[in-house]
Amino acid sequence: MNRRTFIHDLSHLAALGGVLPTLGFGMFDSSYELLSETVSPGNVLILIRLDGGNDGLNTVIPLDQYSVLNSVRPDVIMPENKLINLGKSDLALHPSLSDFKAFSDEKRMKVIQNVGYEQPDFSHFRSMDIWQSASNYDEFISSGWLGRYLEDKHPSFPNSYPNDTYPHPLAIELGHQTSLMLTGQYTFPSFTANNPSHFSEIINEFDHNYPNTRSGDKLKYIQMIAKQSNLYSQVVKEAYEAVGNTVEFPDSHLGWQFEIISRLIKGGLNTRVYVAQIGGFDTHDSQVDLSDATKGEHATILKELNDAVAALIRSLDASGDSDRVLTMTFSEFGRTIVSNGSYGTDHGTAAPMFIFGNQLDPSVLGKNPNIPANAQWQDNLEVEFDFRQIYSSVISQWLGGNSQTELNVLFNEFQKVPITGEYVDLDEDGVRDPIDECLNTPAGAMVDVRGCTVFSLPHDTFEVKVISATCPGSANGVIEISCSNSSYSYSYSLNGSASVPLSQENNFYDRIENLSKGTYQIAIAVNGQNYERIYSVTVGEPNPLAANSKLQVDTKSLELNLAGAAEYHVQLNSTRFSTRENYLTLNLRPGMNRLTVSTDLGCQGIYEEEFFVSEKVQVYPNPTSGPLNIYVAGIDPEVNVQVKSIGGIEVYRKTLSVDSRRKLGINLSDLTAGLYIISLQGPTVNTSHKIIKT
Amino acid sequence: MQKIPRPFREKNTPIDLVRQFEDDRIDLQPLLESRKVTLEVEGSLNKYTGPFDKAHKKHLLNRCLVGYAEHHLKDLDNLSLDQAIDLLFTRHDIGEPVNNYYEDLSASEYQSIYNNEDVAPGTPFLSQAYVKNNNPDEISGGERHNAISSWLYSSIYHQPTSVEWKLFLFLHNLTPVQDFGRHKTRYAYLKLVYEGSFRNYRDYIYDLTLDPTMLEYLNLQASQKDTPDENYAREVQELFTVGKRPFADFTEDDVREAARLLVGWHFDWDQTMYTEGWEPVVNFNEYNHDTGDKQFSEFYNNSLIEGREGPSGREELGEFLDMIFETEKCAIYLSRRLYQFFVYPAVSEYADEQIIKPLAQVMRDSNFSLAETLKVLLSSEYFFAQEFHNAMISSPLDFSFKVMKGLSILEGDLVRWDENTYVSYFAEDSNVFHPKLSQPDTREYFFFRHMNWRTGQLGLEVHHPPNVSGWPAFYQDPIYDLYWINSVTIKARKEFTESMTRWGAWIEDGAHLRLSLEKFIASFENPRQLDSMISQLADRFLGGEIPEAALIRIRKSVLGNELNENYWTDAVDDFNTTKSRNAYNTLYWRIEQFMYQIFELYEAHLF
Repeated sequence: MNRRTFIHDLSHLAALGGVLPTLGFGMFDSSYELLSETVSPGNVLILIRLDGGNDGLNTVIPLDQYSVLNSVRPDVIMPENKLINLGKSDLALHPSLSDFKAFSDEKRMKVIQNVGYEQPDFSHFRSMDIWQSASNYDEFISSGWLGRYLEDKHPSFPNSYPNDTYPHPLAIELGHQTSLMLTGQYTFPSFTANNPSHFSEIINEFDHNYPNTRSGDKLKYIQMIAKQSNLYSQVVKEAYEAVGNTVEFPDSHLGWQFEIISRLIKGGLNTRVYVAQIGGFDTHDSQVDLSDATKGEHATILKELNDAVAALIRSLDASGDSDRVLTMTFSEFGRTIVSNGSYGTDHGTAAPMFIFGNQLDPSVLGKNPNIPANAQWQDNLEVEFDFRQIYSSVISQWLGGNSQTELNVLFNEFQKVPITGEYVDLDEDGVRDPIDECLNTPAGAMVDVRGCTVFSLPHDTFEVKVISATCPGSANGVIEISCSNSSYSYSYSLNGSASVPLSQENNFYDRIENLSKGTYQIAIAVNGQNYERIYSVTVGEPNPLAANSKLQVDTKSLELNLAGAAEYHVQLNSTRFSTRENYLTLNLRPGMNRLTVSTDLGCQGIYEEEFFVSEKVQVYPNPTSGPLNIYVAGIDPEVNVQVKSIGGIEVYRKTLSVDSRRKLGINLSDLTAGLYIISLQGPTVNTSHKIIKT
Repeated sequence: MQKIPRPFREKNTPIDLVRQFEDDRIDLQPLLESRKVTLEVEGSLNKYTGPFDKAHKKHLLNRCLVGYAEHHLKDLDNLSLDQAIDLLFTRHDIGEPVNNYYEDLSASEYQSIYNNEDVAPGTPFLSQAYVKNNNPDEISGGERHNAISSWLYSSIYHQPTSVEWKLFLFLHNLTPVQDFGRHKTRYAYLKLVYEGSFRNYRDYIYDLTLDPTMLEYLNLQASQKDTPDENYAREVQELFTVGKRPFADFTEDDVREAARLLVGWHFDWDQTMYTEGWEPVVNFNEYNHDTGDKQFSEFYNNSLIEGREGPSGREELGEFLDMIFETEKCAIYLSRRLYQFFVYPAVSEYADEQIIKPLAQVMRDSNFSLAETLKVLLSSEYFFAQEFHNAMISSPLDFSFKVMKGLSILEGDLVRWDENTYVSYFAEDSNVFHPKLSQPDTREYFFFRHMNWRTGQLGLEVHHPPNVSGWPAFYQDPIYDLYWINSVTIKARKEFTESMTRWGAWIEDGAHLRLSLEKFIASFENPRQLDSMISQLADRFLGGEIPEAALIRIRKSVLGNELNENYWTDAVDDFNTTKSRNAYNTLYWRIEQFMYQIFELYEAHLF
């Protein structure tokens, strides 16, 4: 498979994004741990959707019914000696499924017979909707069971996603579809605005070449924004590129999907659910070749399934990941018992499901179907298991969830069937007890894939910050490194240069100065531990100093919002100080105040502003028939009083002395009724008031 | 954790597009380089004589209407270009908001607020003499304010096949005022702007100068003769008539002289508010007028406007505007703004010389009628050049209205989502809906109030421009219409289309209006055929051809892998014949699939 093809569809993978307006693009640039430190990725479920309705009776053949089958489906039945005997339950597999037989022998394939639902619907659309939404035959639910499962596990999705605990997509869907299965009740967990590949046909690293026209220019721009807003594309791409595949995958649509899935799992992507699909099972005609019933469309498509599943499992074996992966097939329905006149079969009811995995209970589940000797076109197989029993068992035994989870997801309780046995994880470290090598991990500890504690430090242990950008043409950028955990000693290196200690001696703090514009990698190691954390920070050229001030007259204070630097030098009147706060409240004196803010970098400019703070003035009564009392706080011995009509005409002006009780009085009884503005001015007073003259 | 999805009821502030654009740190260089080598469109204002087919009609409607609907396109069937232009320039009365808010508050609240000035539901309220309450600076009635917003959005949404509301947006953006929340004066401004493009523009500016909301917005109301306020004096030249320096080299002295000339005009709040009628009362206060002579610069031909004593001081305004409109630059500036809004925002040297300057002559010859000038532009061979089709990013209003109309949301089904099972109820289960929602005027009130909020989230709320320059996407070189799309709005647009398709538009009390599957399917020719359906959808919603690969992808998303197309046909037939809930749901989900994929194409943002 060539790389361009992958990238073309890469963002289909990065499906689970949601609407994340609060998070900036590039959050993953700032810090990451080495992959060796990755926590247990947990169990993975891969679903394979067989589109069209798979003919179960030609996939898993009940040998005890062979002679009846021979008489009721003569056009599609295969010679008994060509079938692969499964060696148990008197069952045989289609000749295309040779690797399935091998997995069965290795005790890692399970067959569940006769899965379906009550009152089967023979419409592809409706039946697929029922399977994906997990609804009753007579109800409609517009969300999917896996979508609901993910919402149940992640109730705050998508608002705070991705985050440190869940940096990766919760589910990945391959191909071009958004399936109902992964649609949540409130969110679109597999289908999002962040998914640029849904937007357009993307080749070559998201860059479709639009023509050099006005319209093309706009499309280029929108594409760039779409790419920039996809928070998951980078991490998925990194996981994909982290490792290659050693196993060769078949050159088929499903093989291509599995190759991507296997690389993502190996690459450390902590995604729990993958969905792949393969079509072509709607075999109304030419299901088998006229001359040889082991060939034909059904044989071809089963061979594609067989080869792709084999490559997937062997590839996961090679990387040591197969213990934690469960792969399951399903189809919207099986097909009719009888064959039709065009070497095919029509829409039916129950069908077998395959499940693959190392932790399986490999016994065959379900009885061999009983084929009536006189079967007619309207006769169908009986349903033995409701498909939701399988979902419910997968949730409780593999994905993790209690009975409340099941109720939330499936709206009902269903009788369980054994798939991998009960899900037991007593220390709740996400690693099932049968494969947990450390059964008593303390709560909350980070564990590796074996379930054992790994050394790790919380994400906020270190702080690596660009304190100062660099002015154009000079090198005066500063990076500051600090650590809040004094239990260890550390060392850091800048761009791979010699280590510098970060310990008690420098108070777990260091400063790198005289940096020019550029991106710097700082690796911090813990002495004596196999742990390293890498930060990538960029020293840029600074934005101008930005300041936004708001005068609070009541409290005679100034709220100041600063941006553009880490440290600011503030001078208010004659007081000087430096601060790292972006938000300050400064107390002002009555009268004129002068504020200056500067930073270390002259190129950022200086913010200067003057504020006049008036002493408090009260005017009463209001409305007034004439006499007006004015209370003037502060110390001004006299103030200028001016009264204007609302139209702006001055009707009164005088300089008045303030008495010892800080009061003065005027009389406006000569004025006509209406709205007036009274203004008072003095060295520490400057206010206006609306008054109503009655 | 069960909850009804009502994301659009959150009260957050509309997005600041300029700031978000900066936060995104977009590297514009490659785009600017690309723009440089984009082919120059050559042509003239000569009448377009080529074929007037569907593509040309769509282009014309994109520019003339606000997110046009299919029925507008039908209106142009069999029309020649001249006939189409005649139709598009037909005049209609703006109408008046009515009392459709009576269900927005309880009977007792309604009684206490509106008792003294009540008008019957469905009748206009603006001309009512408002009752003076204890708080002379405030007016009661957020509902009435909402009713005006609703009426404004509803009028634009229900536009006839006429350029009037697009011209309204053009002129509102060119001479904007921010809504202060007052009813009568708010309406006066909107009506003034709506009619302005069809009048002599100088007369329009005269009335705009004395518009109460403009007097207040740009401070003439508070201007005093001793310290004249320069705000309006500057903007009336720089933004409304002759343009910025260095294009128009009027001086700072010109600003100061204009400020002296303009002082003295004040509107009378009480006379406007507490008397019958909505027409504002504006007075000239001769005692607050600078009676000295006003000397203007060389740019204005060294004109001297003689200061006048007494009431005749009011004549100076007309003389001042005459002086402005005599400059050569005025018509050129206004023609350029028309060009940028209706043809393409970035202006080349060629366009300036060959299109805009000749257009300015048309404007002078037509006695400064913007509408008459625009007619010539929209009929020109230059306008119809292929390069300009779908060349702009649609504004939030064009985008969201196009989506709503294309899905016929307003004419859709009333649905409600059950909180627990998430099953939808329809109008036939009428007991789940408040009876008020069955009243069309109440429904419109809520629906367009919601649309008003929605478009603000996408970056354009009418009557709430970011500042006196209007919306940067219409004027700010070199970014222009790129401002509409950033990392936040691209998601907001996506979320908007998803929720419109899936849930419908929030009305009130958890009720939504959602597309009517029956009407929607019926609005296509041959909906039983999948490819025909996809291409018609693309034609309806996309600004450009649907990419071949997208077509295949949409087919797949509807049919699954390699299913027979007959299954689609069966699903449509099943729905059309049985109308069963099952058939409805099966088809609705597939339609959702269609719409999600169509709206994810970048072409959905072009027009």
